[in-house]
Amino acid sequence: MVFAMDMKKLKQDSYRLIRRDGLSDICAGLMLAMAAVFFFNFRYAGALIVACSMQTIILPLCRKNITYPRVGYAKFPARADKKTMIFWDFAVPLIAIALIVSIGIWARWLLPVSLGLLLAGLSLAGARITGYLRDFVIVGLFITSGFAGLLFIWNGKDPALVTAYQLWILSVILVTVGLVQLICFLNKYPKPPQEIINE
Amino acid sequence: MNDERMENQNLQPLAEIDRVIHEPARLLILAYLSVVESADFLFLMNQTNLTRGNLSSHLSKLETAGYVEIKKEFVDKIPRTLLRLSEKGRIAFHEYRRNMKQVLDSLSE
Repeated sequence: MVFAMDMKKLKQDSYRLIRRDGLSDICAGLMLAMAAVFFFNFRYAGALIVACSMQTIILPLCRKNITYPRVGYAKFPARADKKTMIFWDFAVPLIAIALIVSIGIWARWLLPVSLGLLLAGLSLAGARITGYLRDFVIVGLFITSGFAGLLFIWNGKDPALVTAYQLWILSVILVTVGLVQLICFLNKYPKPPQEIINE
Repeated sequence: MNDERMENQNLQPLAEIDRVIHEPARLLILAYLSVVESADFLFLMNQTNLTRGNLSSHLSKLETAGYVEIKKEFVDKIPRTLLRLSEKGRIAFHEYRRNMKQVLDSLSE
């Protein structure tokens, strides 16, 4: 058993244990719901800031109070080097926002597809780490939603409104999937006695 | 005579196997610690399926050998024990893997 130990699988198992809580899906769903508000009415740009805070503030806070006391805490190695980190944490979101805004101005009909592909790209990275089929299905769902939105636009619907509905539908799916996972997680991992947490 | 010497050379890594790491539970602990930067006791308990006492005793042995660093800290007034693989432990773990691979490769079918 020991010599068949696959280090890649061990790493994947460690990621999976933390991701099993469904909280990242719930937060991603709420983030999309907030972003949808912005597309529904561009005056609500503040919704985008709330949306961004979901992953950076709300998710770690929830993990600290729900996940870590049940399955423990693990810190994963930081990404390879500083340049890669700057690229993923700053350049990619900036390029994505600039791309979406320019698409929104010059070719609004492309909004649902570009957003769908962008979300698919971002979630594909997570899906490849966990290897969960469910995560790959969600990637497929993002892409499908983009092209479905395109069909509505060809039928004369407003692109921004179609994008808002696209994000709302995706958010409902993500929150539902996340809630089911969270309930299963809470049932499977009850809070252990304090002395084990404090060990 | 020559064959015997060659066989002895092939099995040389067997003598260099680190007995502290060779125990399956400790090997599993080190393997999990090698894929994370640091982890707490509960995380390792969940991943390795070891009991509290068992994990505790294996961790003490690994700490005594200098392979694992145990750091106690307070997060929001709650004590938390963070475990991480020391540099010595990382080197020993890689060496162990290399030696075991050599030994297993040298064993004929």
